[in-house]
Amino acid sequence: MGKILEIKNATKRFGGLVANENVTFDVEEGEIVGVVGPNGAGKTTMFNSISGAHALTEGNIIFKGQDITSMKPYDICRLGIGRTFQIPQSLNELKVYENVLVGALCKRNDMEAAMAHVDDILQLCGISDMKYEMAGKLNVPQKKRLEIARAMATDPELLLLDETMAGLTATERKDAVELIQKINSKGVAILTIEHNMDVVMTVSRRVVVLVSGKLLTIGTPDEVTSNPKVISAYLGGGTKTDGE
Amino acid sequence: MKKFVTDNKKWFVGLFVCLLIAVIFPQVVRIRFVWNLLSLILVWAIVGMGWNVIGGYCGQVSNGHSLFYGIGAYTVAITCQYWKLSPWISIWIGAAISVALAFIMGKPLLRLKGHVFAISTMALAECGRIIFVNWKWIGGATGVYIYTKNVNEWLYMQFKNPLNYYYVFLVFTVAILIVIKALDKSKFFYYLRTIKGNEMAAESVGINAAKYKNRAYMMSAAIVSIGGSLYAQFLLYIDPSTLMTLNISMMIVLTAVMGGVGTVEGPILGAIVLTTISEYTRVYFGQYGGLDLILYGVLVILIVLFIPGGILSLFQKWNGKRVKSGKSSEMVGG
Repeated sequence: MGKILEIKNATKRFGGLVANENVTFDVEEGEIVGVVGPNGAGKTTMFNSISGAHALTEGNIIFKGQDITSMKPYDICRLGIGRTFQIPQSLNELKVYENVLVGALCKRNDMEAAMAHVDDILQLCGISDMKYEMAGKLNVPQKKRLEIARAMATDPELLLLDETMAGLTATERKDAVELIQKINSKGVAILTIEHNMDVVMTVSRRVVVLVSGKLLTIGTPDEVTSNPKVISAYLGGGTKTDGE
Repeated sequence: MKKFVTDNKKWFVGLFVCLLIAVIFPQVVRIRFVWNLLSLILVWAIVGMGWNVIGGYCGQVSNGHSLFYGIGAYTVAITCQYWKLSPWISIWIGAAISVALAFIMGKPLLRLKGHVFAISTMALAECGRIIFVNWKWIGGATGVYIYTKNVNEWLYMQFKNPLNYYYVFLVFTVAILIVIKALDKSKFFYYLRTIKGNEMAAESVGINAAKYKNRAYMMSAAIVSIGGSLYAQFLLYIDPSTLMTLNISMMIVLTAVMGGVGTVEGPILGAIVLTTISEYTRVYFGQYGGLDLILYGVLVILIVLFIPGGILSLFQKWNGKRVKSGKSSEMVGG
């Protein structure tokens, strides 16, 4: 399998703060990769660099062989990277279907074609029955689904999911896992930030562990969980990588 | 085009009925004051619809649209004065100048957000006013006369009968209204709504926010400029203090906000209510030194207080009740 996303020596500094330092990893086509790490490890910063919300200080991001390091978010989306936000950014004054429609219009100009696509996506994400609801009236788990739906409507080849499980109950998590697997089965590669270890271990083929902005390790879920460095980073055993 | 009409059959029937009333009403009520009032309503409806594109749909509250209003008015006045150009042509020249200016000024201004954008557009309009006041070639503070003797009334849009203005303005208003209605469910306007809702989310679904905001600003400027041109033809004399003050910018915003922000018909309702209140309070209380303005202000405050969603929201509420109780077969959304 070819590599769809390559992160090469990515460093992001905000003034004196180093949010990401020399991070290198890749995502293969059709793969689900989980990103884990304690709070402040630089996971969302990594996502923002990939999706173009801000540019890297050093290093490169390659998507399908094309350097997208300093591209704008809207161009990156058009190339085929969809993203969700940690805090749902739904368009509350629009209806649910309209939220998805604006995503569908990304690669379609014809309204009817876009509306047909919206119906497919709503079906896929299991929110068809809320089609005409105002997005502002949805609860958090529904909004998170809507986030995924809107990102999926842009026909991404790589989907960046930022903590889609946070704040969900066990049953809701189970549904969300199913949704992620369903999306993946359509051939969409997924890079997902997740705190819930159960979820990460279930869905991911490989897991990236970030600690204090640095890449601690990357490997299959089993490899990662048995790695003593990961255990101490998570249990707060005072690792050297924490810089303490 | 055909699809647009068949999809909005009800709307077009409504439009036709309103149009019929609008055409017949001044023939029944043959009062000159009313005729003038009706013409003014249409001017405000046009500029309200124009502002609504950037301020309502796109959520970028511009407090400086009097600049484009002034440019539209001055273009028809100056071209008529110096080159005897017909307003039927110079209206479009004015709109083109406004679009060009909006394009250039939009680049830096639209990067600003919220209050800062609002204040900077205000400053832009003030700069424009000060330039116009001091620019001798275009009449400076004394202004420009458009009125020309012995010309064809229709060719130069200089009517003796005020009713003719009204019918000409009505054509412009309806044309702009239909354009806005056609765009209401288009990709362009959906993109504007997305930018209004959340710029970060908009960019994440492939919308170049800066580009679309600038397009909206240009379209908005063009429409307001057309309104300004028509108003100038109506007055036949213009000067910076009647066209380009902050007061005018605020009135433009108020028309759209009061009628219903980001709605197709809202600005027209806003124009009807506001202009009627403003003209009647002026006529009945104008002689008591500012009492008319106090009354006008109080009425505006009351409307905003009790109908914060705009006048159109009253109709929508009523329509919503009908839908719920099953009296209307109209589909929601779609």
